[in-house]
Amino acid sequence: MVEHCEEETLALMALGEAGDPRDDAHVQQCSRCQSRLDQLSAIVSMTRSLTPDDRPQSPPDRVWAGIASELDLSADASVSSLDAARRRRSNRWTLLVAAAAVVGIALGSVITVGITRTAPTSQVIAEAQLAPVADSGLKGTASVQQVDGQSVLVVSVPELAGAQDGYYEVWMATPDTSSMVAMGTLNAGHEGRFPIPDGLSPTAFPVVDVSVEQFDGDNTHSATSILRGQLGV
Amino acid sequence: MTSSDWSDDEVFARFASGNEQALAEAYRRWSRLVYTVALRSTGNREDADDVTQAAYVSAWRGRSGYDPSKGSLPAWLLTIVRRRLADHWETRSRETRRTTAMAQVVVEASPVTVDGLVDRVLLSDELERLGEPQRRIMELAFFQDLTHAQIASLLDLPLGTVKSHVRRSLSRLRARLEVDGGAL
Repeated sequence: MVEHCEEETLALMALGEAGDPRDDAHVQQCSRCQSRLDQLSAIVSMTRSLTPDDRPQSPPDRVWAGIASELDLSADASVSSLDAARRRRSNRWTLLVAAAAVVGIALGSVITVGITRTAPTSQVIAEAQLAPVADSGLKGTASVQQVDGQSVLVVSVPELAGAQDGYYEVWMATPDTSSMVAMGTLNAGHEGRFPIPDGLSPTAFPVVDVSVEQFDGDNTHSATSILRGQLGV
Repeated sequence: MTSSDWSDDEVFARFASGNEQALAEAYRRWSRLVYTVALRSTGNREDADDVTQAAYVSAWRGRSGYDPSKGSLPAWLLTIVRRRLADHWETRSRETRRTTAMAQVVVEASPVTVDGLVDRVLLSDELERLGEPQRRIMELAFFQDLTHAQIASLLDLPLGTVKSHVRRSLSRLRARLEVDGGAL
């Protein structure tokens, strides 16, 4: 008997989450699951491309007046109380979609404005404990925060000592570290705050790594990591 | 019970039977949808006003042709809107042909995009209707690109709860498109 993918699994796949390889394999050879997935994926991609212009807006009052007069409706048929609650309905989504439109979510970048309206200062979106690599004995924390509409990677390693003949660099990497992005320099005694480029998804680059680099003009990772952790869970 | 308490089905049935308050209620519930699709398609507020008015007038006058058992009233209204928009673009393109010396380069302007517009407006509307915590969860999933595990951790909700909200919210969006005449 064929076991079809659960609807929950398909929903997550449609959102782009990597699932169990068995589910992927099943979808590839099951037209029923494939077509459900396609349908959900189409909804997801259209939703991600929504702009504030897509948000329903009320026609001006004169439109109803025109209808009532053209059809010669009785005075009982009135829409004067045009659902105020509906008009008031939270604008949060609008803000979010607006922000998303500006920053370009099609690329799966991390969008920040809107969600933070209730907490204008900063909000933690994902966190990681940084564990020592190669007996460095150091511990630290990393988090992705939203500050004034921007995603920021905040890295703190309280016991970091000054580097000998070099400096510390913070990286964001894919889980297999096949792809890394240099975020910036971390100095001893200071918290590092690095704006995350629009388009760089912490979901795709969840690994936070701190390396020791030499002043040798080589901008690639030195392969000497002292701390590493993964954002999220 | 005022008309705002009627279920959608009750509005459909009363509309079909010629109740003017049902027309007003149908306007209250779906004029934003109709108007926004018209506005997005024509790009002009006056034209959108006209299309919206014409769609409701023609729906009301043609109500004997509306069968609630065959589909929702908004879906039917949108069918009328599509026709109105096609007329609008046809007129527009005739005018353009008349006024431009380069008729051959006039791009076939587009009733074809109306279906896509309807979907977008329906989705946008349905997203606004999600309650909490579904809405927050979907915001994070759609626009923050977080995994369900990250969302669960961020919102301090059980994994299974987040998964189930994600599934149900997506089903809800899909159902809205199906019921109200989306084309996706």
